[in-house]
Amino acid sequence: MKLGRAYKLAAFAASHKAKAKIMLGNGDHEGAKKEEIAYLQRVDEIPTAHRQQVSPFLDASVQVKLLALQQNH
Amino acid sequence: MVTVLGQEFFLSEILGRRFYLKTQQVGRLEDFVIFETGKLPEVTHLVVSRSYGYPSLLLPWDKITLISNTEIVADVDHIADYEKPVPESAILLKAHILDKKILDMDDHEVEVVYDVKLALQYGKLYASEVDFSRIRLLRRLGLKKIANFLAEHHAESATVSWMYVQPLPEKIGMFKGHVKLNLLKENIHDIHPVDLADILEELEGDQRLAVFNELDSELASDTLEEVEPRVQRELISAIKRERAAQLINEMSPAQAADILAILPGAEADELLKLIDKESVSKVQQIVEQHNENILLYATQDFIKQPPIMLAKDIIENYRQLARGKEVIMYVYVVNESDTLLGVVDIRELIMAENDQTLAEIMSDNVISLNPDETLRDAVEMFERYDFRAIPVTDEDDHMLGVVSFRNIRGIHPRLE
Repeated sequence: MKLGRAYKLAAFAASHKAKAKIMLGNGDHEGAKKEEIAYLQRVDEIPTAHRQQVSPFLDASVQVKLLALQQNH
Repeated sequence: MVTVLGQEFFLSEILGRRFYLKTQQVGRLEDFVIFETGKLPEVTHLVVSRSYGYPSLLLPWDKITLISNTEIVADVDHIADYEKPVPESAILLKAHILDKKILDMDDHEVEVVYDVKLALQYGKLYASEVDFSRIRLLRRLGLKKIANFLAEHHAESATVSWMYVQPLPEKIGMFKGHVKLNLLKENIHDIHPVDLADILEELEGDQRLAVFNELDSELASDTLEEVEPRVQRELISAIKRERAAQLINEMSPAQAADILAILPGAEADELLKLIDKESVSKVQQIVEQHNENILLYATQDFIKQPPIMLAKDIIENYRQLARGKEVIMYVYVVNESDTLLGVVDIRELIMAENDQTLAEIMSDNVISLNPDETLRDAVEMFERYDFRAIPVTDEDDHMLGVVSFRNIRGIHPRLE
């Protein structure tokens, strides 16, 4: 289930990206930087063959996670 | 009267010790012959190996005068009188017991004997205990420091009195008068078929068959149902056809089919001819069912959701999502083209954080069935992984259905 793994990694990446955005909005530049790095690392782990396929999911996930994180706080 | 330095010692400590006839060294101690007394076996003879070309000696215990830390002395005048081979019926401690598997009648477990403790009482030598501990093995290998360290820090005893063990002969006729085998026969019916199955699985071919042949038909049949398929195949192939048919007759049609399904076709057909006529058709029907395609048993009534869904949204709507579904313990995560991406167990769903998506919590290493697999394949998979449902997917991981444990357990006795 290699495609499933790619989706999972994309979901983790989206989580970091959403956290980075929230931290940036709160003025926490250092924290945002760390989350951005984690995001890039996760994206890098997604197998190249599936990266394009999961790209729309990653973008949509960032929005869903942003909304969910904002609702939580 | 023999003089022994120490009332107790281990077999491994004394084997190989220099052997003297009065003052003349003649060889080294090779083994002990024991005799079953009904309680502790008594040492009757010592076997002495000599230089190449000389026959070994068989010396009676009453001729031994000294066992010291370095040597063993016997008081005999004519060496030629003792130049004789060990009788085939003799039980030898080193050759037949040491490093062999033994059935511990107390715990119903099969153990390996790493040493035997010998004890002197009223001038006679007895095999008093067997030792299963690896510490004894380490000592025998010359790793005394490690053995001592382990003995100090893990002082757990692994010796068992000889009275509670049952040597398992490689050849059934090996022991004189089958004394031990009779003992086995008396005790074995107290062991539950599930425990007996475990014991049989741990034994090797001849030993396994020797124990199995001691069981009466009812116990043998119950035990046969419990052992793993590999052992079932071996046992059925090793016993006579008539006996196999008799054991199968003791089973329900579903259980009989279960056994026949794992046998090679020709062997199963041969057995079918021998089993009771009234159950043949029922058994055959079930055997045929085992070969049916798994898609016949797959349902479309399961929960599938896209990976972007939040776990909390699924939990909030779970009652509605699960309504009318057959498989409700798992949420199958699929993309827009119905490709299976992962599975989420209901427990994981409940434990998830509010902001987690299904993609984050799903297990992406999904075990699935191929559409060309059979009910038998599915049964094996359920037994192996202990899942409650298994998805069926094509080679591109597209979801074709889900086989639930509940739907097939009535068909297959192993799953009941």
